[in-house]
Amino acid sequence: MRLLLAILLLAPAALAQEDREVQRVHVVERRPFSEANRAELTLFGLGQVNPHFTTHAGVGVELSYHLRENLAALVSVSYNALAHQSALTEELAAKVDQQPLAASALLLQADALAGLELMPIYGKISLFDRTILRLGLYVNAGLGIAKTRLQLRPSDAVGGRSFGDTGFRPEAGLGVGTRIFAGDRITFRLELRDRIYSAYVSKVNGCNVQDARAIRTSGSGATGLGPGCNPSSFGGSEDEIKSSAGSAAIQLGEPSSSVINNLAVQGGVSWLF
Amino acid sequence: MKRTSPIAFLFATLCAAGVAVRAEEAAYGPAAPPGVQGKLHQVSRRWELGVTFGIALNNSFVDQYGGLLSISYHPNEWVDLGVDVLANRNSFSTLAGQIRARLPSRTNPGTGRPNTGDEIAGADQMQGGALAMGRIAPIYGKLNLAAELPVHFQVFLLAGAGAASFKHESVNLCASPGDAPCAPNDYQTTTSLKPVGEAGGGLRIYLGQRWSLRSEVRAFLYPATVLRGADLTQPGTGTTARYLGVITTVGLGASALF
Repeated sequence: MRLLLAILLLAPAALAQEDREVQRVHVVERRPFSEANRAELTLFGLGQVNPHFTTHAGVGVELSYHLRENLAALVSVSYNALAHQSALTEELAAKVDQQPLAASALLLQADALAGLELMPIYGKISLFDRTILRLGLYVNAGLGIAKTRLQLRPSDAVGGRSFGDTGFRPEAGLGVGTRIFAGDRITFRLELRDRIYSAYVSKVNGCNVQDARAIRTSGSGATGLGPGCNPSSFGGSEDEIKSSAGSAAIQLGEPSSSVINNLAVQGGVSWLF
Repeated sequence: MKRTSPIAFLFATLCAAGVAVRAEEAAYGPAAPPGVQGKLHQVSRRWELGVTFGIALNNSFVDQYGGLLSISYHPNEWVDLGVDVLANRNSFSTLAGQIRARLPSRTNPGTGRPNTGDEIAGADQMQGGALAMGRIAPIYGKLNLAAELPVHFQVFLLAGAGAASFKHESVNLCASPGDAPCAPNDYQTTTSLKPVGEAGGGLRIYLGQRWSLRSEVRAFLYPATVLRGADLTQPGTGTTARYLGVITTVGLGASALF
């Protein structure tokens, strides 16, 4: 009887001990595939989400090489097919004869970045409790160069919008996003990327403010222009040249500089190989 | 043979029952088959009360800060239906002040004749409203932060319709006639009740079976108007043009399930 009692007393204790052991065990599920030592090519569509004075939309390509499961090196280029002043900016010019400083409305035409991506967070999602997909949250950072331009004429001007080249500027990129794995080769990506570039504007189409004023007055016959300044870069006809150079002269007349945060949402599809 | 005492027998019975109960727990515990993990946080047939604080993203002339109270019922795991009540605090932005400070003259200095002009759009102030709202949450997920902290979340889309009170204060049209520059706080102002639609999406992060954090983006759409070709010296002139107004907000809040 004593033996029976001892067994019955020890049995719950043993089960409790077993529970404590179970609580200490983590279930580690093996990932079905790994991105390590693989390259990833991504096609993006992107659109600016803070369109105060400017509007941007375009496409991008990114090539990443995953050094580890959660670390990748990347290079990316993007081109904004749509890069012009916002409706607000044009509305202010048309209705109250006001416009933002040139630096605040500097447009990002294209850019190239090289950097690193870290994907520290990994998880799973289920769609309607049926399809289970894996996902990762990542951050990236890079340095590169931005090609910029300035809008000279609004959309309602004769001949439509016109732009002046303002050259290349250094750029930094910071991104945060999610990568959803649809298989071992295809992933979908959604990212918020901040492109930060300097916006000191001193020349348009290679012409400084004195050059622009001279072209506004004399058109294609302007003389004494600085090196690299060509009146024909402002338009095809004499009227276009004078009006665009006039706009450039106004915008250059008030020197301005700024650091622009171009915040864009970009979504795309990737191919891992 | 020595007889077992009643106390020892009762104690042995209780111990044996304890083992049996634990064995039952082990045998019938998880209902789901091995390898398939059910949702840790169930919302079916529960009420949800949430508060969200938000700011407007796209409104250049108006700084809008507000709160949104929502109550909804989840008939199943994917859908909830309810009511949103919102209230906002609005003020004109620095940009609006800069524009007002440099408005063009109301008359032609050369001829003295009145100038005409169009009203600047996008200056509507949504003060408060109520909307019937539906939300669908097709994605449920789990992340591991620092490999040890599981975070359960749900992604949702929402849409709704209702009515809201709007204050429309013109950025550039004066309320008083004349050719003098507009005095501060003397701009054409109206208030009205307008139909409003909303669409948005967000993320709910579960803190437990009752509490969760919510982050969301909502776009409020409403019929807006501006004046075109107004005589800048005479309030009430010009023709009304309609357009679709959009106020986009980003919000952060918390909700409780009952």
